[in-house]
Amino acid sequence: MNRFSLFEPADGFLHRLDPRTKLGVVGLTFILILLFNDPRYLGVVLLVAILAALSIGKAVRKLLGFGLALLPVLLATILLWPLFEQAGTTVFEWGWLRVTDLGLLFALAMALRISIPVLATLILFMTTRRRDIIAGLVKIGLPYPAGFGITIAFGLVPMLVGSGQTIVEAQRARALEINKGNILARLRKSASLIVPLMIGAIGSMQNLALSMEARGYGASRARTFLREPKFSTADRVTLAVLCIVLLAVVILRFLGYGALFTDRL
Amino acid sequence: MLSVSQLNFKYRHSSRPALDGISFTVQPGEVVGIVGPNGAGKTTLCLTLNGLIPHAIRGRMTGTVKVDDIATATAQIHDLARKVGIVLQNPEAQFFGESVEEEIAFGPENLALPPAEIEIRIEHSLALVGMTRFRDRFPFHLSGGQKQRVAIAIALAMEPPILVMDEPTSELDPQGKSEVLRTIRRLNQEHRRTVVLASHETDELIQIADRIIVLSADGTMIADGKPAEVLGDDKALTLGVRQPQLFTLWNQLGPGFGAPPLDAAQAVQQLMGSIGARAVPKKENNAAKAPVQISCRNLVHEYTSGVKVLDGVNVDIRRGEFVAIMGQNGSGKTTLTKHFNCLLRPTSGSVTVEGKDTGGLSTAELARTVGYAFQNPDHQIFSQTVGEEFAFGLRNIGVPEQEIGLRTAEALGATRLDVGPQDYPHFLGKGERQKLALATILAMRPEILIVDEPTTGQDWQSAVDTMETLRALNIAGRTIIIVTHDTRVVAEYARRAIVMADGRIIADGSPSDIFYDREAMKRAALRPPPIVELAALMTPSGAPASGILTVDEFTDCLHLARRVAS
Repeated sequence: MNRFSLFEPADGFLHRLDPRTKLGVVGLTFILILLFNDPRYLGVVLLVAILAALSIGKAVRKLLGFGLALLPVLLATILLWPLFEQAGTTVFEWGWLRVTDLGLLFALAMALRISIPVLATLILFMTTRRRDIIAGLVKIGLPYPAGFGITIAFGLVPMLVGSGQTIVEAQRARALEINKGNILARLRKSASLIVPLMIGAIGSMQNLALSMEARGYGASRARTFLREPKFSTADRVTLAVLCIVLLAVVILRFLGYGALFTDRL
Repeated sequence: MLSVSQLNFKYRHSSRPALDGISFTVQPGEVVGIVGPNGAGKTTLCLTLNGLIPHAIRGRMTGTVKVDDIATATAQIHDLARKVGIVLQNPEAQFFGESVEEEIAFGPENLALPPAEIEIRIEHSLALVGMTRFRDRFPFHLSGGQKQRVAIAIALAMEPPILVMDEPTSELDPQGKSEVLRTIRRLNQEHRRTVVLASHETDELIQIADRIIVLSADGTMIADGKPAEVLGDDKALTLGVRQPQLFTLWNQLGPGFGAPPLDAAQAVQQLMGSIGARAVPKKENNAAKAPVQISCRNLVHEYTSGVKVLDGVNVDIRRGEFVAIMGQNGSGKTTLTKHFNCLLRPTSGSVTVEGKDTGGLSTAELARTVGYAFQNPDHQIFSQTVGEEFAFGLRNIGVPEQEIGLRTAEALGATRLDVGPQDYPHFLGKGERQKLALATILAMRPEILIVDEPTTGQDWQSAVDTMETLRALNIAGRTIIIVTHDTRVVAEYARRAIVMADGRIIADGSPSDIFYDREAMKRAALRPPPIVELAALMTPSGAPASGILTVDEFTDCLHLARRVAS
C-alpha cells in the first residue's frame, strides 16, 4: 500500500493474533535456528515460514524486494563457508581449495539461519501495526521508551526518504554527477548528499522531541494504549502449540537429531 | 490566563538574548498574533508559552511565564501540556506513526487516560478540524493543509484551553492556508479556544487576530495593540514586517476614509462614493517577441502508478521573460519546472531548451544554461566554508580554479549577501542561507534561472531583497521563472503568470489579466492580493478598472480620477 510502512491492512489469521503471540512465534524461530544446524531440519522451518507468508495473500510480493536484497549475502555465505568448514569427505579439490560434503551442508544451514529470522520478522511487520508491536513488547515487560525507540527509528524513514530525494535533485541541479569518477571522487561527492541529510535528520529529531514533550511523553509511568492487546482462543491454541513444539525440538536436539555437529551450535 | 512578564531568554552557546524583556497578557478567548522579522524570537516566544523553554531547551531564562497563575519554570512540562497546546511550523516533523488515529492517541495515552476516553478525544479533535474521514490514513500521505490540521488535532486531544501556533501556514499552499485559517477561526469563535499565532502573513493575520504583538530583530517587543494601530503605522515596514496591503493603501489615501479596513469587502464600503472610474495602462510582457528559450510540446509526466502529474502541457518561455508559475501543491508546477533542466524526463511529448531537445541532455550539462534554486537552502548547503559551497557547483561545470573567486564575489554582490568566503554556512541565519543558496546557483551564470518559492518562510525584508535581486538579473537580460504561492510577489514583480491545475495550464497571461480572471482563480483555488480584490469589487460601481496590481497603481488611479472629476 505505501512505501514507508510494511504493514498490510487485512483480516487474516496472522493479522488477528495478539502481538505477544506473534512475538513468541518469532522468538521460537530464533531458538530453532540456534538449536539446529542441519539444513534438512532448518528447511522444514523455512517451509513453514513460507507457508505463513503465503497466507498473507497478494501483498506477499512486497517480500520479493527484500529477498533480492538478501541474495548476495546468501550467495556469499554458501560460497565462503565451505572454505572454512573442512570436516567430512572431500567432494571437490583444486590446488589448496577443498570442499567437503559437511562443509556444503553447513554453508546451506548458515544461509537458512540468515533467511529464516529475516522472513519471520518481515511477516511480523506485515501483519502487525508498529504500535501493536510496541504495546505487545510493553505488556511482556519491556520499558515503554525502548519499545518507542523502535517506532521512532521506523517512523523516521519516510522523512529521510523524502528529503533524500529532494537533496539529490538539488545537487544534480548544481551539476553533480554522482555516478562519474573513481571511488574516491564519488565518496567526496557523496558528502554533498550526506551532510544535508544528516543535518536535516538532527533538526527533525529535535522537532520530534519537542513535539513529544508537548504531548505529555513520560507523564505517567502507567501509560495506557488505545488498543490494548487481548488474548483470544486462537492465541491460546497457538501458544500451546508453540510450547509443544519448543519442548519437542529441545528433546530432539538432546537426542542428537537436527545437528551436523552435535558438539556445537 | 496567560501572562508573560519581563521575559528574557538566551540560548546556550548564543552571545545575544533571543528574547529581551517581553511582557504581555492574553485574555481567554483572544486571538493574539506575533509578528517580526526572522530571528526576532517568534519561535522562541512560542516555546516558552508551554514550558518547552526552559524545560526541554537549554538556555538561561529570567522573568516569568504564567499559565493560570502557575509559573511554567516550576511546573511539570506534561502538566503544562494539558493547558497549552503547541503546533509547530512543519507538521511532518511531529509525525512518527502509521495512522492519524495513532498520532492523536499518543498524547492521551501518555496521560494514561482510559481507552474509552482516548476514543472520545480522538473523535472530538478530528471533528474540530474536519478530518474525521482521514482517521485511518497514513499521515505522510496527506496534503499540506491536512497534515497541519492533524497537527492541530494532536494538540487539541490534550484539551488545552490555549493553542500556540508557530507559523502554521507558512509552508502551505493557498488552499492549505485557507483550510487552516478557517479551522483556527472556528476553534476560536465556536469553541472558545484562546490562540497565540506567530506568522509572517499579515494580510491573513489581521483577519483573525484581535491583537498583534511585534518583536524586533534584537528580541525586544516594540508594539502590542489592535492590528490597525500596530501595523497601520509605517514603522512596521522598517521592521521587516510585511504591512497588510490595505493598510498601506489607507496610509497613502490620507485621512477621511475611516479606520484601516481588514479585508476588501470592508474597504469597498469605506471607499464607496468617493471615487470615480479610471482605466490603468497595462504592463506589457517585456519579452513577448524575444526568441523562444524553453518550449514544451504535449508534455506528459506520469508516475509509475499511472497518475498523470502533467497532462499535456504546451508552453513557450522566451528570453528575458519574468514568469511566475502558480497553482496548488499537486497541480504540477514543480514537476513542470523540473523538466526544464531534466531533473525529470517526459513520459511523452518534448521539452526543448535553446533549440535543443532535452532528450539527449543530462541535468549536469544543462546546469550551465538552466539554474535551479530549490526552496529549502538546507537541502543543498553542505560545505565547511562559503567559498567551498560556491566551488562545488563551479567545479562540477568545469570552471577554472582561478575564476572561482571572481565568480563567488560577483554572486555574493548580486544577492547583497554580506559574508566572506571563509564563513561557516550553517551558522548563517535562515534568510542568509536562502540568499547563499541562490547565489551559488547565480555563480554558475545560467541564462535561465528557476527559483522555487523564493519568498516562502522569509520575512518581508529578505523577500524584497531576493525579489529585487531577481528583478535586477531580469533587467540584465536573464530569463527568470519563479514557482510561488505569493500573489503579492507575482503582482509586484512578474510580467507573465501561468496558472496550473490538475497537471494542465489553465491560464497564461499578464498578471493583470490573470488576477482579474475570476474563473481561473477560482479553478486554481488562488486568491489575488487584497488590492486586486478591492479593485475588482469596485469595478461594477464605477471605480478603478481592472489592471491594478499594486497599491501605488491604485492610488495613482484615484488621484487621476479625482483630478478628472474636479
